[in-house]
Amino acid sequence: MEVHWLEVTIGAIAIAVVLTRVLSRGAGWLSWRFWRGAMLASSVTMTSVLLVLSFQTVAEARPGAGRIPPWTVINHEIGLKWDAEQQWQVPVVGEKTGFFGKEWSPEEAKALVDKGKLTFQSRNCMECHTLLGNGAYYAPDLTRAWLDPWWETRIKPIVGAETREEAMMKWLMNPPQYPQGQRRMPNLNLTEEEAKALVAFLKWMSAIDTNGFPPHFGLTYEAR
Amino acid sequence: MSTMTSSRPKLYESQKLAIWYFVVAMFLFGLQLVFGLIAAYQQLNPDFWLEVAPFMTNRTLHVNTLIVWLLVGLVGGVYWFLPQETGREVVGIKAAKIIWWVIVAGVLVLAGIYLFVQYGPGEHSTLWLFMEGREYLEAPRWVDLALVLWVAIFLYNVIATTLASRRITGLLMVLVFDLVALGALYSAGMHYNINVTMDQFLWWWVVHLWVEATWEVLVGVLMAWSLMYLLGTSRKVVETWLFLEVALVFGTGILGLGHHYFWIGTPEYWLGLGGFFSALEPLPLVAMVVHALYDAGSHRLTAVNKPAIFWLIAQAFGNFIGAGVWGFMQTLPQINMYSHGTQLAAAHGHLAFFGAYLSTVLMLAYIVAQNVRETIQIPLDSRWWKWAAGLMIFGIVGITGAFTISGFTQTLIERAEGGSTWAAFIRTYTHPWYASTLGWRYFFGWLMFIGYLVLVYDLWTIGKKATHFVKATAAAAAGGGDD
Amino acid sequence: MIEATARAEMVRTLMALEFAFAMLPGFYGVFYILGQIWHRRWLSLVGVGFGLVQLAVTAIMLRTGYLDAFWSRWIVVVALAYFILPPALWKLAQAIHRANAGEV
Repeated sequence: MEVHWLEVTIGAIAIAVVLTRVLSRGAGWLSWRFWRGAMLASSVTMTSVLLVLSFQTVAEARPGAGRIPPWTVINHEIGLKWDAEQQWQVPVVGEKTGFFGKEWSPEEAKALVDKGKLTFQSRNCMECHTLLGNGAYYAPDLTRAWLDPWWETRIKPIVGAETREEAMMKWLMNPPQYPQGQRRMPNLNLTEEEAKALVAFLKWMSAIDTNGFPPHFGLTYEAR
Repeated sequence: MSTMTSSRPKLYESQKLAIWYFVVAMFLFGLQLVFGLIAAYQQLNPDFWLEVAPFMTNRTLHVNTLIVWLLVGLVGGVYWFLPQETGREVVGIKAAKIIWWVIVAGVLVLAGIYLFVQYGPGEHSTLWLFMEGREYLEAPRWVDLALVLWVAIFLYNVIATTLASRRITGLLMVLVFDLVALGALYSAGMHYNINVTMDQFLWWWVVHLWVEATWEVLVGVLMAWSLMYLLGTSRKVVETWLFLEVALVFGTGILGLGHHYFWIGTPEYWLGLGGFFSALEPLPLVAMVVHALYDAGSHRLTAVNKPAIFWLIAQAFGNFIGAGVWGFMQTLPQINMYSHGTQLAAAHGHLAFFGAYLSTVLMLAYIVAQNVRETIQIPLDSRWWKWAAGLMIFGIVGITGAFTISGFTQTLIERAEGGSTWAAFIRTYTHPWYASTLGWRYFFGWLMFIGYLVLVYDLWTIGKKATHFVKATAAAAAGGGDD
Repeated sequence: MIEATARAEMVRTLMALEFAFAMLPGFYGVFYILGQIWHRRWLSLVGVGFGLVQLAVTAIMLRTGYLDAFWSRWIVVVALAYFILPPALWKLAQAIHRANAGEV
């Protein structure tokens, strides 16, 4: 269902105005009764519109519905493609590469990403990092962390890993061992299972269509 | 100018509870500043306490104490005014007292968990017992349940007392509907979601519809009561104007929620919808500035309580500038794509919370302080409230300015030029434009803290030595000296 | 890199303009209302001056070419709303006080 937001907006304002007139009929426009009517009309109309749009949004935000990738995206290569019409990057799902050397079934993939999200919350990562731009600003945004060039160019050689996911897992299990920059990530005592799951969560998240956020990811500076 | 004193009438039980609310609020405010200072210092010296209490721990305590002390202050304000509004003692006040001390104990336990446990294994039990790990909603589920119980009893107090008084004023009507919404919205944040987009979709129902909707209306009600008390504005006027403000706040803010749905994986129509309504959100804030000036100005700024009037005016301005201007500055999607997730959000947050909510709670605290001594000093005044206000305002302006510059640097360098990578992030926070703000921010944080200490001293002492102050003022006036 | 610099330029310019766009109605409102309360016409005119500067800022925003057709039109509507707001609110505040004065 396509939502033409401008029509929705104009409709909402019109309904609020009409409802105000109805609720406060007979009252002068400066009176207590008029503004009480306006308050009720405004609140009820806007809340109703929000609820209807929320149902629509929730439907579109299901994994696999288009904007949000299915859990099995962790088995695939993920990239970003420039959309000339929108003037922003759109995630693309590529070939099957496996993840940590195996292909995960839909149930397994979901369980792994679930464990990753639980780990993410249990370690309070949002209190240093941002996720889809929300959180704290002490550490990098993690929306496209899976696609960050440094995993390949910097971290893989240092930790001695064969694949990107392995590099991420090893680094996350003891970040202070290979500090990057002045601000150091503490060791949060991740088990290997948790670290693997965390990487899966980050990989899955990097394929969400975020309307181009963060802008021009990785496009400007070459990986050093 | 003469100062009168009059004997204090007997306080309702609800008002005695309100005093405790404000005492605890001030204590938590102090904790908030301490943890803010530690977090600010850690940005200057990233190795400080890295093993013992890393940045994430201090920031969690900083934002959680903030939310709790402000909410406690606002609820305390309701407990203060409710018996006067309804002309009777609050129904269920015993239950309110019990749950209050349960909450205080819970908050202390929670602070201990944050400091000494910090995190747990990646399992649901961690989210229930120790750490839920979502910004502002870090508290584990057992705390959520305790808060729900607290809010439920508070709602019972308000609704039952309103019904028992048999006179549902316009203010009470707005208060009841707003508190029901406020409480219900909290439950939106009490779900675990694997899908991070849904997680954040619901998360914003709590965060935005609290601070940009229901909290604003709660402040509106408290402001209305305060205007009647401080300036004698008529009820019909404050109620009519409150209805107008609520119409505008909800009219713009409910769908303005869309400005948090630009980039979290929700459909594109939120870009238009959110940006549209968000651009209008400062309208009610301009209206509040106009009305505050109108009321204060038409009374020639004479009032029964000088510090309270000051913070009332400060609230109107601070709300507009912190929430309105700093918010609008980054609200258009074309810009927000670059500024989202940078310290510009922190700049906006600090000034907005200070302007909209801290000012309200301090106004209320001074109203309560006026009425809890043996005698009521009119007008309430002291030497110290101006110093406290000046230091704190200077402090927050400096903090906000520092965040604005560092956030701006992030927007330009990390985002617009740098490609938002790990490398770009490090390059930005080591850039001189960014790095130089850290020391200044820490310095202004100390100014705020010193202002807070003066504030606490003033709240403790103001109005106590009434006769002494009267003599001093009269002598000064006679001798032609300065105040 | 030229493209990146151009983006940075856009962000910097628009943010500065947006800041002014939001701040100026505040000054407008304050000066206008104080002028009315204290019966000093010149203060109110200073306020209106700030309002006119805000309209000029709006024109500059349109001329940058950074906003597309829809947003350009919307920002004009918003600017006009903020322009009429202080005198409209002043009249409204007076009228509400008169209409409801003395009623408890």
